[in-house]
Parts: sequence; structure tokens; C-alpha cells
Amino acid sequence: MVNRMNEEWDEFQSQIERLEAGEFSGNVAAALPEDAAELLQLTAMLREAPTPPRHEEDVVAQRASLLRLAMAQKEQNPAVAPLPFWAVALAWLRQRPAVRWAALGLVPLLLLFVFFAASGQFRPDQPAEPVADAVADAPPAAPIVGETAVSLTEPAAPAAIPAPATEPEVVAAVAPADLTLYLPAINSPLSTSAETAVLSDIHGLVEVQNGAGEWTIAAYSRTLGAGERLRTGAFSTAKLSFYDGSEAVLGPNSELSLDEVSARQPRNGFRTIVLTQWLGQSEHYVEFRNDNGSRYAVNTSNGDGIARGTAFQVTVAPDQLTRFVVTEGRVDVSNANVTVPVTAGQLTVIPPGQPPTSPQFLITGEGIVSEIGADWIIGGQAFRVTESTLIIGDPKVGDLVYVEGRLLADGVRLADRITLLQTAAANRFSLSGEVEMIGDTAWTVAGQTITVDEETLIDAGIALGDRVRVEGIIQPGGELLAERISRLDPDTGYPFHFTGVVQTIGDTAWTISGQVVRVNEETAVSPEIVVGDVVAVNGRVLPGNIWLAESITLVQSVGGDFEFTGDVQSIDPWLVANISFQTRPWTAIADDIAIGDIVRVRGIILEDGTWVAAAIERLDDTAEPTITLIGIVTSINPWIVNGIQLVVDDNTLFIGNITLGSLVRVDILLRADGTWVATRIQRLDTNQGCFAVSGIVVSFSGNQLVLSGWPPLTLSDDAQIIGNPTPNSVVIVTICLSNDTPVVILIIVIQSAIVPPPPIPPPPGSPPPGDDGLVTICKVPPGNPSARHTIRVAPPAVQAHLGTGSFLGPCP
Amino acid sequence: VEVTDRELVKRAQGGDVEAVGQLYDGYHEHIFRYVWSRVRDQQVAEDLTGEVFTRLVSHLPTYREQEAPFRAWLYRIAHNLMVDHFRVENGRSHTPLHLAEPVYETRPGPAAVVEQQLTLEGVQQALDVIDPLQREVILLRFVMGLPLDEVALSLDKSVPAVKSLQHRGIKALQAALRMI
Repeated sequence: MVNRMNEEWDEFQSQIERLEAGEFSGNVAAALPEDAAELLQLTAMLREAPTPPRHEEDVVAQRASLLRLAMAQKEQNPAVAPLPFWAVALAWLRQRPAVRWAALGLVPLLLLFVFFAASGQFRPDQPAEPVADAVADAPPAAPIVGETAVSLTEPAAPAAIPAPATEPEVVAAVAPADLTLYLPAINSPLSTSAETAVLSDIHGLVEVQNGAGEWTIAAYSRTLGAGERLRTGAFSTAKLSFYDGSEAVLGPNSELSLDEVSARQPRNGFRTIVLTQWLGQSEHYVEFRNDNGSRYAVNTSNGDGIARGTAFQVTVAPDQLTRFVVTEGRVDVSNANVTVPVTAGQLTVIPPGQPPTSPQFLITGEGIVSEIGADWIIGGQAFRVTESTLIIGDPKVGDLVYVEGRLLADGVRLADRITLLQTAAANRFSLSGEVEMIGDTAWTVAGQTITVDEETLIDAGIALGDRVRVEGIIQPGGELLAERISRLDPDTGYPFHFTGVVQTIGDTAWTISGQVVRVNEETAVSPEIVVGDVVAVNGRVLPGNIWLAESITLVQSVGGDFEFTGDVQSIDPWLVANISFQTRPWTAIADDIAIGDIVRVRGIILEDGTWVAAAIERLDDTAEPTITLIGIVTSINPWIVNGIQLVVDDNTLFIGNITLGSLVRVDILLRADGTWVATRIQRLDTNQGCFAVSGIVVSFSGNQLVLSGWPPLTLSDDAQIIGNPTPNSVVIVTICLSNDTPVVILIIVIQSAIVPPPPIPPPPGSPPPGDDGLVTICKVPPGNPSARHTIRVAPPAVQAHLGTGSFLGPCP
Repeated sequence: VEVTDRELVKRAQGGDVEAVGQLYDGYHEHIFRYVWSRVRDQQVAEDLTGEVFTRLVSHLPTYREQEAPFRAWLYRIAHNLMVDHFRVENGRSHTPLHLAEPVYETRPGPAAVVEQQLTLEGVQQALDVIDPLQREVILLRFVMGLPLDEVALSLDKSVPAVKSLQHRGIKALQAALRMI
């Protein structure tokens, strides 16, 4: 029997192989019995089954992610491909754009310390000595992994801006966990190929210039092609991924245009990527190409760079001073017939119209500012600050800053950029107490001497004995410098300040992010504030918990609103769908949101680029169940469907042209308090009275079918059933109207339910369970048979009891 | 010069990132077709295809050609991912009913519905009602075009067992189609 079956399978296999060898199925089938021929035709049909084309943008994003994953794996596996520490760190940083800009400098700082240590000159307590010779003798930097040739010419005029592409709407996002893929769902087709780059890792305000020259907010996973232009706001970054795996990351306050994009893979020809950086900072990770025809060029107002495979940064200052910083490989920078080789850990600076400077070692790092002047002392090191030094964030003594500069030939450390990272909590103070002394340069409050200067904000009319609140900074040496002194007076109220969204505007009171704020004729209100605007409110809390506004100021929302959906990766700080944002006390946050929940985040982008959420809603919240009703509309206003009067409100969604007699589907929300409301009433467009829905089977008995969330459906007498619609199986159901009553005429099971394992049968010979489902056993305790007693147990437990000497039936 | 899978795998295992890209280029459409045949949802299929290759890269260092040809090994990854996917899917509620829009309105009526012809759509519906393992064999053999031995390696079965599953699966499919 078995042999005959094997022969049958072998014969069938042989016919299939003929088919696979290219013989037309009809010829093959001609030699077969009818039944087998039909089977073969079926296999041929299966081969021709169509598959939808892949989303090109997903292919590009997946490929780029895979290359990064492979690269990271390569770098983290020294047994396969040993790499220096800095390369591993760089890979780590590539995955964390939020910290990359500040942290990237640690690598060259390490190089610098190695250099100082090697040359015996790292003595913070001594002035730096000339090190011109030391530069030449410096130990070799990181290994060269690629080469970059940079020649300096005038940048090409930006290419004509093409017609704006359709903005894809991001409707969902799968957030990455380090190296997993980020594949947003996009509801409009995009054309992506070697001729386009995918925009991702958007943080903050990122805009794309459209065909009319207007800037619009960039959507995640948008593609950009030649001629398009990208810019970032404060604290904002974005990444462009090219088809060959190369990446360009745009830093804050930066602008970049794509002049040529043909990121072919090696087997398809040369790669040509030409960008123009108009302002700001960018990082470039260029896939190595072992050919002489590929180019990766970054134009600036002072020239362009051509790379075959390396990593470097480009900074274009507002005065167009340009810097090329090389973090991997080597860059040859040329202008005015001068070529400067720059290796990893070095930089060159190109003043407008001049040759690049000789390569200089990078100096970067973080530290506390202890002195400000012509030379700043940062982390105990002196840095020369000139007019060209870009100082971001107005750092003060005591603040933590990130400094980026270079070591000049005369040993001076020249700061190119100093960025405020954090106003250290340790150097700020606030205190409350009675005013004991008021002077021109110092006050005494609660026994503490407070320094005041011309910038200290002081409430009017403060007198000795008043209670005040003082906020300020602790100066080096412990001096308390007041930035603001506010009166604390129960009669005049305690000061408040917050930023919120205007919900209502009244003559005497406004509602701002849920807080009722009184206004009077003295309240200074910015003109043209409307509901929905974001405002900053200053005022005082008066007795009776009355919030009296002294000023309401419009906060410009330059970036407009944002809304996106994704799963929660982090809470406090918030990170959803790889997008970080802040919350405010007025942010409406759904209860019990946990990491992994799918949420929709809506909010505003403030002037400084900060994303502030106004609401975070959970999308998979099933706390409030819904039911669905299908029926005929017999009355409108009041709404009556199938004899049931519906509760509708302003939020009820009406879909389709619903008239008396229409067949409709009604979604009803059951609230926790027992009330209910129709959330949606949708006309079911029927063709000759039939429509189809999909759902999950709750029960199927006789001619009654119940789908999850649906009313019981009756089957027609001749209903067709394909498959076995057991509970939990997923089905497509065709419903037709019969005498205006919906009846099911077709059920197709498209996914079968998982069948639970059968219950363990009782052992052979055991009596059937009683009415209560239990089996009677005489329990004999091991070693104490005289203590036997009758028990009743569930059938699955019978065997375990019998194994200890007990037996079926009651004890004699 | 055509580069074989063996060479690409060897280069990829040696740290050649571009070789990984070429493996992706060579197989992503096949894997997508296989995955889509199971899930019938474009975006889910896109995501799962990406996950297959992510697993590929993660497991590549431990891959040994002696155990299975690369293609069979890749499909085994995809098959295992499918098993995981449906295990998760079956453990939670399915498509929210409020999303259950009418899926077609052009059916001419009950009589014509009953007379539905044998179509590819019908084949796909029929595939869903047959034994899961038989379905896997049919998909890999006839939709993906894998030879018997690679199907066997992909599913960790013997070749005779796959022959049996194939034959029974086709017959079950035929029976299901007759019902439709």
C-alpha cells in the first residue's frame, strides 16, 4: 500500500518536473488521467498567481537598514573584521542622531589626549607650549578606509526645483528598536530608486522646498530627488539615505540641496551624488567604492568635495566660512591650486575665496565653563574665542558646554563653536523669604546676600519685610546673583507662568489648556490671538484660587502642528515612532500608557523647534466597547434604525447619503457609565441588495451566525459555507437583503481558528463524570490505607490520584 | 560575471556589506511573494519581508552551507517567521470590526455568487482552508518554485514527507476549490 502511494507521488512529481522544465501544462496533462491533469493545471495556475508589486520606498529603506545592520555587525564582531574603537563608536552614534552631534567630538578628543600624552604636553595647570613640530610628529590617526578629494570651486547654481511631489501622509509607524526596520505605512505611492533619497530620522522642524519656492513640513519617509532642497530648524535633524547605503545627516539650522542623485550600486555603474550645503552642518557616511568613476560631492559656497568612501562633516557658517572635518579615511581638500590632505581626526578651514588651511587636529569635548573672556576656560582648558567663534545658547559660567575647535600651529586652542548643553542645576538657586535689606547692588533675603544687577527683574513696590521669591544663578565663589525677584503676597497673589493652548476666549476669563484664567483691563494681550493658539501666560494666583493674567503673549508656532502615530518607545522623555517630543502640564495624556502602546500624538512645534504634545491618545484602547447594528432607517431626527432610537451627538459621523429606507451600519459606543452614543452611521451601498463584510466568528449554530461586534445574522436557506466557521475563525460574509432583512448567503472562512487541545480523557474503565463533571475516587493515602476516603475530582486529575494506590469509585 | 549565492554568502560572512545588499536584491521579491501569499496584506508582508532579512543578517555568522543551501535556509527563516507571526496573530483579537468596511459591492446576487468560477482568487481562498503544512509545501513548491529537496530543508522535513504533503495538499486544494 505504502509503495503504491509512493509510486503515485513519484509519478506526480515526475509530471511536475516536466512542467517545471518548460513543457506546456496541456502537453503534460494530455498523457495523464483526467484527475491528475486537473491537479497539474492547478499547479500551473499557482505559479501564475499574481503578487502585488513591492513598495519601492520599503525596498530602499529595507536595503539601507540591512546594510547598516551588516555594517554594525561587522564592526561589533572583531573576529570577522577587526575595527578600531572609534569605528564602533561611530556606528553606535549613527544609530543615535539625537546625541551624535554632541558626542561625535569625543573621538577626536580622545585622539587629542593621546597626542598630548604622547608628546608629554597635557598639563592643564601649565600654559600650552608651541607644538608646531609635534603636529608633524603626531602619531598616525585612524586607519584610512577611504579617500576623499575635495576641490574648491564656486558651487553650481541650484537646479530647477521640480514640481512638488505628493506629500505622503504618515498614518502609522513601526518604531525601530535599535536595528530593526522602520517602515512607515504610506497611503500614497512614491517613486524611489537610485535617483532618489529617503528622508528619515526626522527630529524637530524639517522642511522641504516645493516647486513654488515655499517650504513645507517634511513627512517621514518622503523621498527627495535632484533639484529639491531640505532645511532644518533649531534643534532639528534629518537623515537622507541613498540607494547605495550612503547617508547624509543634516544638523540643526542647516540647509542642503540635492543637485544630482544617481546612487547606483556597484554592479550597475558609477555612483554620482552631488549635494550643495548652503548653511549649517552635515555629516556624510559614504559607502566605499573601489572605482574611479563614482562621486559623492558636497558643494559649499567655497567648493565641493568628492568622496569614494569615507565619513566627514561639513560646516558652513553664516559668513560662509567652511570647515571639512574628517572622521574616517582621508580627504584631499583643494582650492586655489592648493591641496591639503586631511586624515581622520583632522580638519581644514576654508575662509571665503582662500585656500584651505593646513590640516589641524580637532579639539572637541564637553566641560564646565569656569571663565569667559578672550579665552574661555572649559573643563580646565583654555580656548581662544574670536569673532568667528559661533556661540550657541548663551552659555554662562558654570554651564556645561560642548566645544569644538582646533589646535593651531602656535599651540593655541581656537574654539570654532561652543554650544550650551545644559545649564547646570547646581549653579542655579531659588529661595523665598522676607526682604531684610535692599541695596543698589545687593539685597538680603532670608539672611542670604543676593547680588542684583541691571538685568535683574524685580517686581515693583517691594519693600522691607515683604515676602519674595528669588531665582538666579550661583556665581563662582558662591555669590548669589538674582535674575528675578518676585513678591509673594497673599493679597497680591503668587506669580505663575505657563504656556498653553487657548481653548476659549471671554471678556473676563479665558480657558488655556484647561486652566481658567481671569483677564481685566490691565492684562496685556497680544493682538489677534484666536482659539487654538499657543500662548505664554504670566500672572498671579489671587486669594480664592483666582488666576489673574497680567500678560498673555502669543507664542509663534513656526513649525505648525504635528500629528503622528506609532508605538511608545520611551516615556519621560517621550519617544514615539522614533520621534522625541516634550509634554507640558496641560498635555492631555491618556491614562496608563505603557511602552509598546500604539498612540496618536498631536501637538505644536514651538519657535525654537521644540515639539510639544497637546494630546497623546491610545489607539488600541478597548476600555469602551462598541457594538454594531445593521438595519433600515425608519426615522431621521430622531434617528431610528430597526426600531431602535439612536443617541447621536456632535461627534457622530454620518457617512453617505442616508435617507429614509437606507440600509445602514451603526457603530455604538458603550461608555463606562452605562450611557451609549452612536459614533458612526454609515450607509451600506448595496448592489442588488448585497454587500460583504469580514469579521471574527463568535458562534455559529443552526442558521444563526454571530460575528464579533455584530448583531446575530440569519443564514438564508441556500447559504453557501466554504470552510468550517468555528468560533474565532475569520470569515468573509456576503449579506443580502431579503424583505429588508439582512440574511447571510455566503460564508468563506479565510483563516481557521486554532483548535484547542482535546481534554485528557479519563483512564479506561473510569466511570463517566457525574452531573457536576467530577469523577468519584476512593483516595488511599500512601502509607496510611486506613485513612482512605471518597473524593470527587476533575477527569484530568484522575490518573494522578490512581497512581498513588487510590481506585475508582467510592470507598467500600 | 554572475556571482553565486555561495560566493555572496562567503563574502557577507567575511564582512562584505555590499554582498549582503546583493543577497537582498536577489531574494527580496521572492520572499515578499512567499510572505504575501500567506498574509495577503501588503504592509504586513513588507514588514515581515524586512524582518526575514534582518534575521538573515543576524544569523549569517552561524550559517553553514553543509546544512542547507542558502535559498532553503532563507526560506526556513521565512517559514519560521510566518509561524511566529500567526502564533501572535491568533493570540489576540483580529481586525477591529469598525474597520470592516464592505469589501465588494459588485456581486450581482446570490445566484451568481454560487456560480463563482474557479479563479486565482478562489485558489487563494482554497489555500486558506487546507492543512497548514500542506499549504506551506504548495506555496514553496509551486508559488516560489523551490525544488523538493529545498522545500524539505526549508520545512525541516524529509523529501518523501514533502512529496506526500505535496500530493495530498494539491488534492485537498482541488477539493476546496470544488466547494468554492
